Amino acid sequence: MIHDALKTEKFFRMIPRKRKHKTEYGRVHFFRKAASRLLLLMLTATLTATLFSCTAKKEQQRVVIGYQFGTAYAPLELMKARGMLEENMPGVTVEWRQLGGPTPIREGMLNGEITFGFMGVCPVLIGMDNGMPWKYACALSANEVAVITRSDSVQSLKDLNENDRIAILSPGCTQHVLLSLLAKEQLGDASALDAQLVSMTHPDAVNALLSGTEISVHVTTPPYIQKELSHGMHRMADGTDIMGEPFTFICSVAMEETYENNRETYDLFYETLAEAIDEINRNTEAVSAELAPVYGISPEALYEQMTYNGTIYSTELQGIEAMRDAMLSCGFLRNAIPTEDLVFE
Amino acid sequence: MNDSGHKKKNRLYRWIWVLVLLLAWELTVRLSDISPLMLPGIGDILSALVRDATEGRLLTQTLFSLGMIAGGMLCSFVLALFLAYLSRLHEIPEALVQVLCTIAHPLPGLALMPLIILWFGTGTGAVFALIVHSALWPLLLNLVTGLERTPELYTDLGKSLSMSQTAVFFEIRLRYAAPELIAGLKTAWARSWRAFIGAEMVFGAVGAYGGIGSYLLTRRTFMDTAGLFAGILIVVLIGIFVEGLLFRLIEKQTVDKWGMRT
Repeated sequence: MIHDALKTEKFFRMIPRKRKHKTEYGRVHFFRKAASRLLLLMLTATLTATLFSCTAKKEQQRVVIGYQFGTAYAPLELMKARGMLEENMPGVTVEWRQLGGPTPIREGMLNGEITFGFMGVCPVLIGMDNGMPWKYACALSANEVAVITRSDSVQSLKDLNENDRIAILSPGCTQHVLLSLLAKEQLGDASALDAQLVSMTHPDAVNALLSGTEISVHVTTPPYIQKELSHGMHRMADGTDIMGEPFTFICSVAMEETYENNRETYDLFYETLAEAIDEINRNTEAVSAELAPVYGISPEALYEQMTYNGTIYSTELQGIEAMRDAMLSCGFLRNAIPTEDLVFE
Repeated sequence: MNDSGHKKKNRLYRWIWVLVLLLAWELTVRLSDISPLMLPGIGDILSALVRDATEGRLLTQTLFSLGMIAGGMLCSFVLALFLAYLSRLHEIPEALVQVLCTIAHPLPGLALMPLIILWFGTGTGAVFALIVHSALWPLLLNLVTGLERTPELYTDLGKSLSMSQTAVFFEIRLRYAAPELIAGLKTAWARSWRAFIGAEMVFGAVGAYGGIGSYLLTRRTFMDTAGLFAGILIVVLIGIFVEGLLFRLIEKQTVDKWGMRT
């Protein structure tokens, strides 16, 4: 490699920058010019070849699944562990991308890398609102979302003062939307607490809450709810109270292009997902024993998390329209997305 | 061709290139069917910039960022001066400063961020600590090198004029170290600016509404690609302003004026 580079460098040095000696060395100059043209041509050819080989690779059927961490994604871990997709879709290469939030999954889907994405219901609506050509494919799971506080005197958001900080996962996440709804109900202004929000991962927020920093409220999900409650903290409200009904928390989303042009893959994928969810609901104990090593906890602990109050695995979307209306009223969405544009079929 | 003529021509060519690049951008957006979610047009970006500066908090966030950096740099400057002075006083503090520099200088601020959160929380204090860490060590290293470089002839001259040690430090050594000091300030600025934006983008907003980093993060989350470009544009403009105007001015007032530019 280095030798080649040196050769190329020498080669370039041979080519004069200015046409000083055109008359004396006209012939030599011609050869040098021809040689440099040839080099350029070769470079272009290599580039094009690489590009073509890349696109050729894409033609081979490939399914990339973008999902996140936690027991809410257990059906996907089961599909992955058992190779269910490889079995149901022979000849298709399956790839799994476990990412830290909805944004990188959305970006991966926009540039065509990720085929099927899994995330909270709110980021999907925010994407639609901004022209992202995707729709809900189905639900994955529902679980409790709770507003937890460490101070006993705080029973409602009205009891917070301006120095209290509230930890959420990220701006625009489902927890943020629920908090805004609660703020609208209790304080009369959905964005009243915006200046007090801090974006943190769940484990960081648990630590902050336990160590008595300025963070005094955390909007969170299992298993962090149990952890915080076991340290004497209390629930101010939970998702079902705020929305008035249970709702799908994690859902699956696909691009319109996949649905229209790759229907067979789409159908097979979601059939397999439904199978995995059925299996979890029928044999929860066996599945938790099987997946315990994936999550790095004991089978009992996983079983407890998978059956915790409010945890449901189902493909049936619930409460999507209510969530859209809530987000519209809190200013998270600009357009009232028509109901028929939300879900495929 | 004379020097100023070359400079003028160079400036003209640079502006032409800027225009060509902008034109190529706009043409790409208009002529290809690329989604505006991937690459928005220049008009969209400018209108996002105006929208967020007038209705949103972009202006406050920009000022907050600049204020934090200015405060952090000032704090590092005083600290660096103090540590450099200490290291000139005696061999024992000199060794301490060397040890500290060796340990801390190659340590990226972002690597320290989890520890900083643990010690200082997630508030403004944490990010301030990060900025000071990023700015202090390059500044101190440059300063110490500059101070050491001062020829003994000058310091001896000061001593024979019965100047105190402090006076020799501030009047002779520090002036002699001015080119290094400015180079150090430039590195410190670049490092702390990067660390601040990086910290906000990795660990979330700081203070009530955060700075430019949290603006970029929010625009990304809410899928506002035009806003994302607007934030990057602000970062570019601030970079040009600080490097091209502010540091240039400082150099003109000091090293250029004192005839120290090599």
